[in-house]
Amino acid sequence: MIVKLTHATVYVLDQDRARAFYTDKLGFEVRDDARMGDFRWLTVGPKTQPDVRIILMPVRGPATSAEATAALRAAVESGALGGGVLECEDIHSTYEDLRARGVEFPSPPKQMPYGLAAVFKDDSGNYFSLSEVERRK
Amino acid sequence: MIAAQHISLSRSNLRRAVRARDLIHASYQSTLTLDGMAREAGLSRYFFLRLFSAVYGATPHDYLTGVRVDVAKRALAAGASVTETCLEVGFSSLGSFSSLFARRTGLSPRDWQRRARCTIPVPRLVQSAFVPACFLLFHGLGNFGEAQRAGPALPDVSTRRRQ
Repeated sequence: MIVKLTHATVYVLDQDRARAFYTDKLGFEVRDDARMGDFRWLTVGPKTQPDVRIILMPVRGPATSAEATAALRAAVESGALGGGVLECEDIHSTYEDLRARGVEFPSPPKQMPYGLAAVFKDDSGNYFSLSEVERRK
Repeated sequence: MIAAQHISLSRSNLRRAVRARDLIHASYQSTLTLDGMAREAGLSRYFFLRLFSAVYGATPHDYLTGVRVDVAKRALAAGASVTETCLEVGFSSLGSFSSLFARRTGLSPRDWQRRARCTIPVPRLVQSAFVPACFLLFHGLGNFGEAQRAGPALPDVSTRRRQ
């Protein structure tokens, strides 16, 4: 039985820039940053969720063909690849914090049927939903 | 089971939990006590225990043990002796380190090292032992297949079932 998601992949255009964005702007921590020849294993995650890693995978891998790299790059740059959904404890203050750090929000916080949600982009162009965690009673 | 309900995961409480976890990662080599960590967080011992468990799903002590075992695995994979590793992760007794490591991993430190080392033919590739297999294969870094053939025979776990 599969019990848990431990790693998820986000394709990025530049790993140095992505590392800076995810740590300095989003406040994530670096979990791994190791080089094996041309391959750089770079993972980050939120400090309150240590058992999941987001892999910041370059669109150009050591074994990725030029065609696949170009297709991935175009998909990332056009915003065709969503990064996922992130939760915060107070969407309005998190939105203001992130905007003050220069994070681009195509959509500010809005009431949705399931709760409050905003949409931001990472430095490569991946879209993420930001939602507010349901208040625990 | 520690009751996780009735804990407010407000920004200030989340920050306290994160700071305590940062302290564990920075000081896993020294003696960290529940009282000391609670004091650092500015909380009562019991509230701190419940808050940390609510955020991280483990008591501070269990979390600290997990960090120590993880660091030990990397040190053993890199070739450190069991004694060096034991001291590096903050244990003074080899016996208690070895039995704790075995409880967590199912293998003694020596056996774990033998298994890890035969997947790492080149020292600079120690890190690759901790990268999920699919990425190594996908990016043409699948050295573990060849390394296993070159190293000591490993048990075939492909059909192993939990006892």
